[in-house]
Amino acid sequence: MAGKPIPSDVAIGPGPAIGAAILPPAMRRGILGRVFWPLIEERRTLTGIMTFVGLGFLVAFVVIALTAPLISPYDPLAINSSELLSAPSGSHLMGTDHLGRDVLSRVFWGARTSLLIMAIGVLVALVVGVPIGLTSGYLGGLVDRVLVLVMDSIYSFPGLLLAMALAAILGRGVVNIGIAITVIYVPLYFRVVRNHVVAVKQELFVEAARALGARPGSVIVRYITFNVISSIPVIFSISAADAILTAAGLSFIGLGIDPPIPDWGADLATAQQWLPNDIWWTSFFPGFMILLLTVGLSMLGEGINDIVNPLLRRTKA
Amino acid sequence: MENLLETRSLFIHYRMRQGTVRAVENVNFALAPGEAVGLVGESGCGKSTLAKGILEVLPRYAEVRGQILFEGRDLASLPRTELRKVRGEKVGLIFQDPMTRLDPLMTIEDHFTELIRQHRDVGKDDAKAMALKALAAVGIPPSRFRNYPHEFSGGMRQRIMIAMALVLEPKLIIADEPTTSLDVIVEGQILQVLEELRRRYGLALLLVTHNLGIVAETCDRVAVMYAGRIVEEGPVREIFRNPLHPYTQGLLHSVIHLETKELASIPGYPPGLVRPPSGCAFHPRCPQAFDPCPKAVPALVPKDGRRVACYLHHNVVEEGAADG
Repeated sequence: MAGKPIPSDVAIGPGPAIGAAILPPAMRRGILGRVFWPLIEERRTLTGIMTFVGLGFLVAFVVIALTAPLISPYDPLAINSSELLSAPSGSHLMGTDHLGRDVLSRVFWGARTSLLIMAIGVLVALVVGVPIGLTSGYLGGLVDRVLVLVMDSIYSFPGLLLAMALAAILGRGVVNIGIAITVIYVPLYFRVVRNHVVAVKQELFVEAARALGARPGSVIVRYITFNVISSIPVIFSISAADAILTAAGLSFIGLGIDPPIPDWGADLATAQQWLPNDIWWTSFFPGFMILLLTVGLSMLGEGINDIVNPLLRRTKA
Repeated sequence: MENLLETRSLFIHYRMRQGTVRAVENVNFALAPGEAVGLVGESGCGKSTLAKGILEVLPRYAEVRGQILFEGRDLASLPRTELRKVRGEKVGLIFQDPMTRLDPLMTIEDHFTELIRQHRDVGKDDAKAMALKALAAVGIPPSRFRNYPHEFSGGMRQRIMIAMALVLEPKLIIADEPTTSLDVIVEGQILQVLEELRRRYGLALLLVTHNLGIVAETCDRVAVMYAGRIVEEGPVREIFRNPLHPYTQGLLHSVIHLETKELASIPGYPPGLVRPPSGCAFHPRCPQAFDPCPKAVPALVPKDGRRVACYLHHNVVEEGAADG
């Protein structure tokens, strides 16, 4: 560091970035460019590494979920009475459960259920919660008051309890669980976005933009939404992680997925009764998968947060 | 000469829970094309409200009455869509705090493209050319075009704001304490940039400040505000040499004397604008106050090559301003 003279003009700005040669300038623009370009730029920093590890976890699980039929060594539903509760071995890498089903295959297939529930739950919450939050925050007044009241009353309910109630009403199944989970997260997105809009709306740069003739439409889209959107990847990945836990919790108490369908939470629930008999593999592997995916999503969210916001981004001098 | 900007009986009130804040009271003043006018006064006297009120960049609870004539059109009665065309295009506004006036998520390029394309139907390349020209005029090199606001110093950000206010070649620049948050050296640079641009493009400038030195340096005329009203207005030279209003006198004397190391200032505090003192609002603090002062508001009347609102110099009472 020391002894190396830094040209004064270059030192202030990021200058030509490390990844400059990889992406043509045109790809650095636009909403996607804004997210991905810094990601490439930051790939050597701690933040960047964290983001890529998180992203890697997510991608790995998506690949596993998609290719489950191809990579599973056994049928996850096939009962084999000759190999009940056998420990991990060469033929069954993660052992078998109390019905002799291959745990590895069930873990692979279980990724499908978990990711699907997560995708339904979180995406719907995002699609519903964000626009309502934007509108509510921008309009203010009575509309805002009513919406905040409604959302807060939903939010004040313990999440798992609410999901349980809804799951009990809607019935079992992947889609129903997804919807039950959506309802928990809509208020979260709404609240974060709405409060952020209220804060950003007061920012002096918004006033400055108006003073130079910006139309209301472009104020909402360009100045407010862009500033608010940076908080979404974070709550997205954190709520996704949470959704997986909630779904697992629902399955665990028997309100989630119908028993034969492979699901990490449900499998974990069934497996726990064998734990006292030193049979650890049936609960360890599904549980570990939940842990990995949750941690991966959290890392992704945290990393994206630092990267999307240029203020938190650390510039290489 | 035709006035570029003229306010006629302009009132701006803020309706608040505590009552009505009379930030601007019956202000009549004019600005000729190419002229630089300083608007001075203590904090809270309504000078920023007046400056922002011209473009109606005010909070929702503000109420504007009277006329704001710009090139003969009344901005106060223009519909929003028309007003937006004046903002930025005809009148540029520069603010006090450059640190927070740029969107942290937008590069300088984004700011300019957004601004230019809001007003002109031009392609990205043309917009960029316009932006770079304006930035060059304030001394920001093209290499910084893609940088984010936080990568600039306060002085540079203010220069960027000036370039943004200038890029559409407006006729008037309103600068609301443009150098207040900057240090003295940067302040000098900014003023120099403004002065140069003003001469080059023949811009009119309305400079809001509490710094009399800046006014003396840059302005042709000065208007002194107290409690929402203009109390004295005229050529800088005349007023600085021979202030007539006791408030102007006090303001000009409010400097630190090096010999005595004492700060001469006006005793008391500026009045609250919810219930300003009766008559001349300055009378409670005025060393020369006498009988008529608390009774009625003195009118702003021509006297010795300027206009002054003080009973020491005339006995004209302001008309119809008693109620609001």
